[in-house]
Amino acid sequence: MEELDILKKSWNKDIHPKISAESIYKMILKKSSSAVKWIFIISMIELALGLSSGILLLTTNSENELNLPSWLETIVTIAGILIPIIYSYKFFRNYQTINTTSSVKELLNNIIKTRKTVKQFVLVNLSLIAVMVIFTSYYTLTTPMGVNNEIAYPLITLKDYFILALVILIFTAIVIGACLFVYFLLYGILMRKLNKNHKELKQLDL
Amino acid sequence: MDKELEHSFVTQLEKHQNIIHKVCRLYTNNQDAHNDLFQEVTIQLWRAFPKFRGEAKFSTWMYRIALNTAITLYRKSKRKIQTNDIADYNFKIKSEEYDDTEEEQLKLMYSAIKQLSDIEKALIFLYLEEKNYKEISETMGISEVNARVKMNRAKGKLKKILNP
Repeated sequence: MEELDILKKSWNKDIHPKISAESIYKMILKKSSSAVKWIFIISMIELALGLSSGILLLTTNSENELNLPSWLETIVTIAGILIPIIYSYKFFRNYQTINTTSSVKELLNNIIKTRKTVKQFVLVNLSLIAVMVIFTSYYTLTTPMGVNNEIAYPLITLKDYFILALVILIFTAIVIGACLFVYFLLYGILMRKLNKNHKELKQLDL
Repeated sequence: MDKELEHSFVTQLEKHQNIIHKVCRLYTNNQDAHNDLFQEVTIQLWRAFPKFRGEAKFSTWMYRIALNTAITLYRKSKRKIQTNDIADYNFKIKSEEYDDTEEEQLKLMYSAIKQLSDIEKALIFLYLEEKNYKEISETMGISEVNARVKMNRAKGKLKKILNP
């Protein structure tokens, strides 16, 4: 291509004023503002929030405030501990594979894989919260309570149950929906460039 | 030891800095963004430097990190994009006013390359650096066949932009 050949002729000429050694010394002391750094910071916040919500769930459960049957309590306890541990391990293992000397495609793959781990973690955690809210509400509404030595159901009519269940479902959907909206908006901005370039390289293999 | 490492790094980077400038020129549109990307590439190079064993040439090792930083790690700020628009606008007016001198053709070339995708820019960069398809495929992480296909498409796209 003729035009590119014109560019090739002047390609190796110094095109920019030289940056002094002193300035380079100063630069290496500065902090990176790369997308990977932000992905790491946000992922750490997500994992920490997930871990603290797991701990909160455990302490609440141990005080028997959730009215859950023992089998469900055991599952929640195990999940609350295991999920953050497994995902933190997976996250750090994937994060270590991010290497700037990899090929462009490999680097993009590794960043996206690392990001996916935290994405899965958040989705699993939100699903766990949703299931917890539904089960806790169900058991609270259907378990008889002792009032003045008499056994009574907390709610009387079917209509009451229906309305309450609907309110709980809508509330849960709004909270989880808002979380997902902020989440995807944030990552949509941060990952847009990475996803676009990854898609372009991936299309070549099709 | 750290001082020695620092000195060795700064000396080599100072010598080969034109490689980073060339990447910055393709991926940015103004001086602020150029300096910002140059700094980010320098930070990434410095981070990776302790693992640099010298098996590859320092300059070859720089290509990968500089391209990877430009393609995946670097984030542009909104302010810089707005300045770009103005710079591009002024440039377009200028290019219409002057004759087709070599300098003007070069400016047009750079302007056309900037309209390519990040991946296409990387291929053009490697072509201008006279890398063979084996090296290009290894740097990009794609097969040699795909590197050729993509390169031809990028050149075709450039031609279209320059001769609409």
